[in-house]
Amino acid sequence: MTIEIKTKKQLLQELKQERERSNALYQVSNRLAGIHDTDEVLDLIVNEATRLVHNQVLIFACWKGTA
Amino acid sequence: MTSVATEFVAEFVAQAAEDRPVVEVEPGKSIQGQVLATKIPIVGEDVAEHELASPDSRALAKDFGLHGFAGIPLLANDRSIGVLNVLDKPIRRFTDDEVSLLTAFADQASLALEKARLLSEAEREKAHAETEKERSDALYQVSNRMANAHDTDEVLDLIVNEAARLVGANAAYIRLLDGNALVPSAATKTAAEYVADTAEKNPTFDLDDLSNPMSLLLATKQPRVIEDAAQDMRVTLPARLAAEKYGFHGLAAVPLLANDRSIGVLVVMDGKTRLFTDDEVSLLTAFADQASLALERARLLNEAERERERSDALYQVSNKLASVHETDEVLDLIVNETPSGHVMATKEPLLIEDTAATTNLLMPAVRRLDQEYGFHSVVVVPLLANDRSIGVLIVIDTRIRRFTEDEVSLLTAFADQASSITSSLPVMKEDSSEARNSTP
Repeated sequence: MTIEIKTKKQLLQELKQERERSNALYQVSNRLAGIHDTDEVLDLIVNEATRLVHNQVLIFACWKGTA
Repeated sequence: MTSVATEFVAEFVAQAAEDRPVVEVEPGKSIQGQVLATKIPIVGEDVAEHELASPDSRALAKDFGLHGFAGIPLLANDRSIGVLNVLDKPIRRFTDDEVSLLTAFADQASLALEKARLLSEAEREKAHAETEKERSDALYQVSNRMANAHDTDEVLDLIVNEAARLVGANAAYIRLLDGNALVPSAATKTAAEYVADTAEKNPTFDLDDLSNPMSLLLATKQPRVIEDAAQDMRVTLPARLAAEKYGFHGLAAVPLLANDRSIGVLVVMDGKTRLFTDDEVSLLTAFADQASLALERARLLNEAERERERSDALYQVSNKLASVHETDEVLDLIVNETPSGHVMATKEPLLIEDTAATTNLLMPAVRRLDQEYGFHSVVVVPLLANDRSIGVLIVIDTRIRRFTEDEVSLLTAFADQASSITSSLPVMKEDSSEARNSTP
């Protein structure tokens, strides 16, 4: 069994990253809560998702139907 | 499928949507279909090589240099409402952390989308309810006014104006069937000229010619909707030209029915090409029913009024007759109250130039009836047999005029002929009766 031992610096780094993501999600959810128009929501989603995963290109496809 | 994309991949998304406008929600058919059906994210190193990607999608991804990908389901109330697709240029696999973050984000996005959908649905419902309320109010107002109005034209005017307003049309009119003609009865100001023009140019039409949309409507008693009356070949040429001239296009026509019989038509027209919806036609039908009721009510009121006048006249005469006891007085009354009685008593022709202007010998109820039927001048000639009045010959004209002496003389000659024939009839009967009696 391999036990990964992380240094204090690595743990702090992970914590910082986690905090950034939580903050980002919190901000996104706050902004989403204030929008009532579907098109605006969709625009915000693609742009914020791109920002969240840094530098990736992104596509959003909304499917309108019943699953 | 509605797609929204970041600017960088907008072209790729547009091309993909063109290649595949519909995504089947079935596992194993496509990456998005799989995510929608299973509600589980799919992560891959290279979309251009993925087994679920169609050959077109693979080629497209290669063309655009897109490889690493993740498809995250958007779920609302455990129902798939979309997919969040993330693509990257290098061949690489998104980490669990990244997928977890995107999933958390997708959940937020789903909630926002669902909220927006519900809100939009609620707004639509609210708008629909408001429209329904407005329509009900208008119908209520029409019924209310109809209950109080004595003037049918006023109710019909209200109906055409409200009908046009509530379906957002430019003009409306009602035409009533009179023989083979559709007579204009009420119209909005915007339709007045058009209605007058078409009624003048085409006063009558063949009711049996079902190629004419109006005949068909009256025969089938079913509403008709025409997207562009100026272009539709089902519309007669004169009607098309008139529609073009006055700038009317979208048209809806509903029949006015009384006792399941077509008695006219309510037409609304719009200045733009449009197809009136079932909802709008249903509202127009309600207005047409109100118009039919108003017309039926007016007819019944007229009938009742006429009946009342007749009863009044009879009552007046019987009242006067009841109060006299001598035969001479009864005869005097008949002679003084009626032209026929007067002529029979005097054995002289009587000429009335205008019944509306004559008070002598004409009871008010009789004068009103004459006015109603448009009768004006009258000549009454006695039928005399052995210098005894046996009846009268009455000739009426709808014009106000005095019959000439020549005409009266001619009529007297006719009356004499009629008298001699009529007076000989009982004799002939008596003769034949005697003949029968004498036959052994």
